[in-house]
Amino acid sequence: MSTTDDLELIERAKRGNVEAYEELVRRYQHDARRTAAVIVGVSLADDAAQEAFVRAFGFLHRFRSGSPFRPWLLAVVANVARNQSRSTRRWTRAVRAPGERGISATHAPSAEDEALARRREGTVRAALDTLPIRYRDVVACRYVLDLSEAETAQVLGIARGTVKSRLSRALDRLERQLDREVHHA
Amino acid sequence: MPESNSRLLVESELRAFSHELDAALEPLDLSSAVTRRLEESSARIRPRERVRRRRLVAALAATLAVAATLAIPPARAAVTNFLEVGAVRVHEAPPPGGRATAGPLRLGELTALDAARARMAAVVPAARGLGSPDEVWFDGTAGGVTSLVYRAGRGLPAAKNTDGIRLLVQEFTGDGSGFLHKYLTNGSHAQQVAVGPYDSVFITGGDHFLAYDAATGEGVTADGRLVGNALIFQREGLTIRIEGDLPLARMVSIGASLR
Repeated sequence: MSTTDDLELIERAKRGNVEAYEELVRRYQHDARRTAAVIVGVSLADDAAQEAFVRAFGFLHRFRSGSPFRPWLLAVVANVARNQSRSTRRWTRAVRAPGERGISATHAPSAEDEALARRREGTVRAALDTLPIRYRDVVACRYVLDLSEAETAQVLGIARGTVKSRLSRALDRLERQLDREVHHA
Repeated sequence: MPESNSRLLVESELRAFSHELDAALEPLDLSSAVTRRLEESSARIRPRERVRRRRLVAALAATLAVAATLAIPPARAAVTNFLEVGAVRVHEAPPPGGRATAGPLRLGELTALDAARARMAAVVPAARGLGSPDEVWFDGTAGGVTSLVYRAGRGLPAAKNTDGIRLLVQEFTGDGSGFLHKYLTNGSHAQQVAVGPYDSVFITGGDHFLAYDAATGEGVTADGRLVGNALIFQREGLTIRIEGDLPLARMVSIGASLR
């Protein structure tokens, strides 16, 4: 799907064409639902994404023609989801609890390997939960939502350099936590 | 375990979340539901309404500009409900709910002028005696906001409710419809003036209430703050807001010196 198509749809939607906007919803709903899911959890993600699409339609006049639509939309989704999230839910729990799945392996793991893998996995998740939200959001954007550095900057409203530095610090922390855990195992 | 292996494991685990999300989200098409809601709420005509409203406001502003100055008395039974200047909307009314309490100043992240200029076409006052800003802040929301902070010195009087800031110059990009709201409270009034070739609004005479839209414009946030004198104008794609306890002439001079 070309960017030009998006631009045409956006311009039509800005003029009040709901059918054009419906096509944009179809194109970006997957990303929107994923973004909402990392903030409010899977069970509430669809409601949040739907609400965000409705609100984004009303904000379309603020969207600058020619700029990337995806990060703009996901910023709306993230804001709506955050507002809907009344608890301090941790996004690592949005999908499953630690230890429910083993780390994928290229060979049949032994019982000891599986136990160690579960321990490491649980450690990463536990460490994620202790990260400050500003770090966790960057990690979620880059690794879970697979956003580019520039998109992450736009969605979170921070500079690209800040994305880099926060991601680096977050990974360092996770790595150190994992090392400590493994050495003590 | 070598450090690189730890990093790989961490990254592998993080990417695993992404796949789990896909698996956890049931296939669903939101488009019909969104369309239905838009039609039910009549939201489909909002963009057109906004265009009409903005044209009306532009026409009103042009009419007002014919006069050299226009004083808008406080608490007047308004002919107009608001006046838009770039990214700022001045409401001739108290804030929603009547709340008017000092809240936090939101500037984004501390940065350097060059870094801010890499993100937007920020300008800096060249007014005599002002010097360079003590701090430069950048907020990437709503198209980008650069804030120049001047603290003590340079003959700047202390201003209230500004966290020790004596002069604040904020520059907003974007199409700027209502990113900032100013609510005139008792005693404050708006005066239309010129900053070089640009129409401007100077707010003085009492506290007025500043409220921010959320990052992507989803309504006015709950908290705002009371500010003193403010000069607002739009130039070359930027909305400029100068805040401080300075007389009109000094603020206009600073505004006109932006380079």
